[in-house]
Amino acid sequence: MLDTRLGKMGCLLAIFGSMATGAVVAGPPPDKVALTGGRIIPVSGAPIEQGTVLIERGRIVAVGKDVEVPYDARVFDVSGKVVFPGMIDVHTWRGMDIPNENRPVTPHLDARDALDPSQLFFEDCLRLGATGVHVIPADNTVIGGVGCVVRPIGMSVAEMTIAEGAFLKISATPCRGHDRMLQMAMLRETFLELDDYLAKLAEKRYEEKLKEDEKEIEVGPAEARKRGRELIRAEDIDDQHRNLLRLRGGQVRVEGEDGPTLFKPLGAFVYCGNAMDVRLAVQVANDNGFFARTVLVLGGECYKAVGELKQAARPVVLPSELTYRETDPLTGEVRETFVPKEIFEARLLFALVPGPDDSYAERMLTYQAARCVRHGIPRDEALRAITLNPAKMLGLEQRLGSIEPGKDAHLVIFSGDPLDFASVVEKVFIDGILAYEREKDVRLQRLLSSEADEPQEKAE
Amino acid sequence: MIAAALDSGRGLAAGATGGLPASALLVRESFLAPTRTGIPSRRVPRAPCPPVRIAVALMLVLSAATSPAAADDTDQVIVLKAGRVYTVSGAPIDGGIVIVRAGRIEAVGRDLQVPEQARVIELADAVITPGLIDACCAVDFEIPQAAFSRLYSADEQPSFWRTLAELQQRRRMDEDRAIDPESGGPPSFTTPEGLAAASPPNLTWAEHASEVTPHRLVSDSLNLFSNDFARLMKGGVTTVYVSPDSASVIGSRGTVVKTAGRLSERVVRRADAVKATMGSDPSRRGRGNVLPPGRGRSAPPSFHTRRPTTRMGVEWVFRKAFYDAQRARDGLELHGADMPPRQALPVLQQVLDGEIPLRIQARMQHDVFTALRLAAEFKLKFILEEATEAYRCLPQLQAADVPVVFGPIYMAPTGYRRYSGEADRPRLNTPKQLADAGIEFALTAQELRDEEGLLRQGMYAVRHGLSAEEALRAITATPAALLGLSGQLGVVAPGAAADLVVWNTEPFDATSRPLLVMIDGRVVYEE
Repeated sequence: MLDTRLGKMGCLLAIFGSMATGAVVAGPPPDKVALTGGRIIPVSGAPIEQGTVLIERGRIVAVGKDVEVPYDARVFDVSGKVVFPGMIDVHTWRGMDIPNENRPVTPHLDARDALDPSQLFFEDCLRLGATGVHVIPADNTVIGGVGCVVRPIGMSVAEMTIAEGAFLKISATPCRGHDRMLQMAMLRETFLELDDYLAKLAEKRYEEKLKEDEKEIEVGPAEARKRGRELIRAEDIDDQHRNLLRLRGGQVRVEGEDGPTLFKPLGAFVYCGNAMDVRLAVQVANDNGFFARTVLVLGGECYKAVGELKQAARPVVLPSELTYRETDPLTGEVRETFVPKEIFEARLLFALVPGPDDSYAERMLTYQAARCVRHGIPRDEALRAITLNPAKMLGLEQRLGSIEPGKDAHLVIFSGDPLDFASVVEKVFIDGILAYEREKDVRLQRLLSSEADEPQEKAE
Repeated sequence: MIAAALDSGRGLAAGATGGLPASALLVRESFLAPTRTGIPSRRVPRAPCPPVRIAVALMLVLSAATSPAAADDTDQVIVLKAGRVYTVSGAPIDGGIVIVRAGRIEAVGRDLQVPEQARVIELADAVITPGLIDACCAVDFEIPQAAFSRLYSADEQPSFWRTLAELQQRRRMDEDRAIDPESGGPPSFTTPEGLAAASPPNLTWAEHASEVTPHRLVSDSLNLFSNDFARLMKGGVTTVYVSPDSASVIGSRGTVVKTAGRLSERVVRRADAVKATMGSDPSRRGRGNVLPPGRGRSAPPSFHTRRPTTRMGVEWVFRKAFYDAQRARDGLELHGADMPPRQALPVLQQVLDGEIPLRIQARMQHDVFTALRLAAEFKLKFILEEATEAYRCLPQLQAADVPVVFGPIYMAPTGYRRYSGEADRPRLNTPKQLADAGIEFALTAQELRDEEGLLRQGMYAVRHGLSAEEALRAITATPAALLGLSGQLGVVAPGAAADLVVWNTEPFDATSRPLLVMIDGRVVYEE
C-alpha cells in the first residue's frame, strides 16, 4: 500500500493534517477531486470562465468548461474564485539550515542532506501559493553543491521531493574572501583536477585489467590511459568527482578523447552578481561542456550585460530586488533601472523569485509579477515568469507550471485575480491533496484577529 | 554652494525668497580672503577688495537676471485631464479636469472651460490624487555626522539588527558568568561586535545632551538635498512631517517639508509638534549606566550612559518636565533631580497651553496607557505615533479622542523596531479596526520606502479590510488635518496647494506607478 504514490500521499495527509491545520484526517486522500465554477488561468492558454479542473490520483486529467465530474469525485465549488497553477520558487537556499558551506569547492554536497521539512519557510510557501521550491546552495561559493526540487508539504525529504537534484550551484562572482582571479582559477583548476583524476583512474584500471588477465604492461602511460578509458566503471568514481563528471555530461574524457557515459548529466545554476561575470560564466560553461544545461542567476547589475545574455540565449533567474539602484560616484545622482524590463526586451526566458522576507509585498511572487506588469511587461509573460518559465528551467515543464491534462495537480485558489493585491490565497492543492486552507491557517488568522477574539482569562 | 544655501535657509527663518542672497556670497568671500598682517580674520563680513567687489556685483546682476523668482511658470495655467480625479474632499470625478494657477488649484470639475494659453497635460485612463502626505516620516538626511551608524552603512542589512541583538545577549551572558576587566582600549564602532560592546548602542542621530530637548528643531539638521526626498517624491509622497528620533523622552520638534520643488518653498512649517516617547527607546540609552561594559570597572561612565534606564524613569522625566514648566509659569522655584533645561520651559508651557501640538510615540499597550494617563494629568491633547498595539487600546483611545498616526504595516518588524522588541505583536488589520472604532488615523511608512512606502502601506491596508476611499483619506486629507493644514493640502479642491500625483491606474493596484508628480503647481517628476 505504501509503495503506491497514492498511499504515500495518504500518509502525508494524515500526518500533515494533524500538524498544521489542527485536524486529524484518517485514510488516503480522495482518488478524484474536482474544482468547479472557478475562473481558470491555465497560463499555457486562454483563461476559462466557470471551468472545471478534474484531478485523478494527483494528476490533472481534464480542464475545461464542460468537464463531466464523476460521481465519486470530491467536489470543491470555487465559484467566484480564480484557479491558478502552483507557483515555483526557482532558486532559494531557504529550507536548508545555512546558505553555504565554508569550503569553496564542494560539488559533492547535496541540498537534500540539509533540508528541514519542519521549517517555517515551507509553511510560508504554502501561504503564498508556492508549490514547488528549488532548494539549492546560496551564492557565497565556488561550486556549492546539488540542489533539489521539493514540494512544501511532507514530513521527510523523500516525501517532499518532486525531482532529484538536477543542477549544481556554481558562482562566477567571487565568494567571501576571494577575488575574481582566484575564483576563476579555482573553477578551472577543479575541472583540470577532474581530468587529471580520470587520467590516473584510466591508467589504474588498465593496470588492474592487465593484472586480471595476467599480462604484463607493455605500453607507456599515455597509451595505457587511452586503453583504460573504456574500462572506467561508475563505481570507480568517488563522491568528489562524480558530480563534476555529471556536470560535464556524465561522460568520461581522458586525454581529450571521449569515453563511456556513466551518469545522468547535471545542469548548473551559475550565479553572476556583476555584469562582468556573465562573460566568465559563459566561458567556463562552454569550456567544460555544460553550457547547454546552464541557467544564469543574475545580480542587479547584470542588465548591463544584456548583449552577452542575448548571445548566450540561456534562461535567466532575475534577482529578488527588481529595481537596481546606483549612485553616480561623481555627481551623487541616483539612477534606477527596472531590471525585468531590460531582460524582457531582450526576449530572454526569465523567472522571478520572491523578495526578502522583510518586505511584506515582495515576498509574494504574484506581487513581483505585478511589478513587471506595472512597468510594461505583458501580463501573460509576467504570469509565465512565476509558473511555466521556472518549470522549463528546471526541466519539469511536463509536470509543473500550468493547468493542463497530464500535469501534476499543483493548484492555487485565489479569491480574485492573482495580480490584484487585495486577492489572497485561499486554498492550495498539491498533487490533488488540499494542502492549505486560509481559514484554518492559525498563525495568519491570529494576525488578522482583534482584541475581542482573544481568549479571556477565567476569573477564579 | 550647498553650505551657502543651507546657511541662507537658516539665516532667513521663514519666507526666504528665491535665489541665493548676496550676503551669503559676501560672507564666504571674506572668510577665505587672507589678511595682510597674518592675523586670522574673524568671520565678519568686510568690504572685499575692488576686483572682488566688481565680481560680486557682476554675480548679483547675473543672479537677479536669472533669478527663478521671475514670474515664468507661476503665471502659466496648467490643466490636467485624466480618467478619474479623487478629490478626497468629495466624490471622485470621472473624466475630471484640474486647473492649476499660481501654485494653487483653481478649479476641479468635469466640464470646465480650459483657459487659453494653458499648458494642457492630457493622460487618458490616468487617475489623479492629491499628493500623498506622510505624517511621521523618518528621513535619511545622508549627513554622516547626523546618522551615526549610517556612516558605516552596516544597518542597511536587516541581519545587522539581529546580529546586534544576539551579540548583546551573548555579551550579557558572558558578563554574568565571569567578571573580566577588559581594559584593551576604546571599543571599535565599525563592527557589530564593537557596537554591541559599546552598549548602549548609539544608533540614532538624536540629541543626547539631555532627555528633554523640545527647544531643538529637526529642521536644523534637515538636508533638503538628500536623495531620500527624491525617493519619497517618486513614490508619490509630496509632503512629509519629518519626525525626530525617539531617543529622548521629550525630544525635538518636527518639521513639515515638501519633498521636491523650489527650495524656498519646501519648508512648510519649520517648527511643528514636540515629540515625546514612551517605552524603552529613551530608556535603552542608559542601560549601561553603572558599568560601561568592555572598558573595565575603572573607566568613567561614557557619554552614552545616562538616565532614564527604565520605563518608570521615562514617566518621571516626562512628568517632571511638565510639572516644572507649570511651576516656572507660576513663578515658583525649580528644584530636584532631572530639571529640564531652561530653554525647554517656555516650549513646554506652550504645549501646556495648546499652542504647540504634542505627539507621543508608544508601541505597546501599557505604553499607550501611560501616555493617556500622563496627558490626562496635564490636560494635554496629543497625537499617538506608531501605536503597534493600538488594537488592544481601542476603547481607551476612543474615550480620549486621540488621533493616531499608525504604521508601518508589516508581518514581522525590521530594523530598529525589531531590535527594540516592542513591535512583536502586530496585527495586519489594525487600520481597519481603527476605522471601525471611529478613531481618526493616518497611515505612515516611517523609514520604509518603495515597495513598502506610503502608497503601498495604503495598499496593504486595503488588502486587510480598509476601503480604498478610507485608505486614500488616511494618506492625504487626514494627515493634512493632523498637521493643521486641512484644506491646504491633501485634497484636490479649489484653494488647495497644487500638490498632485497622476497615476497610471487605480493607486492601490499593485500595477500602479506615478506618471507625473506636481508640487506647488510645478511638475517635479514626469515619466
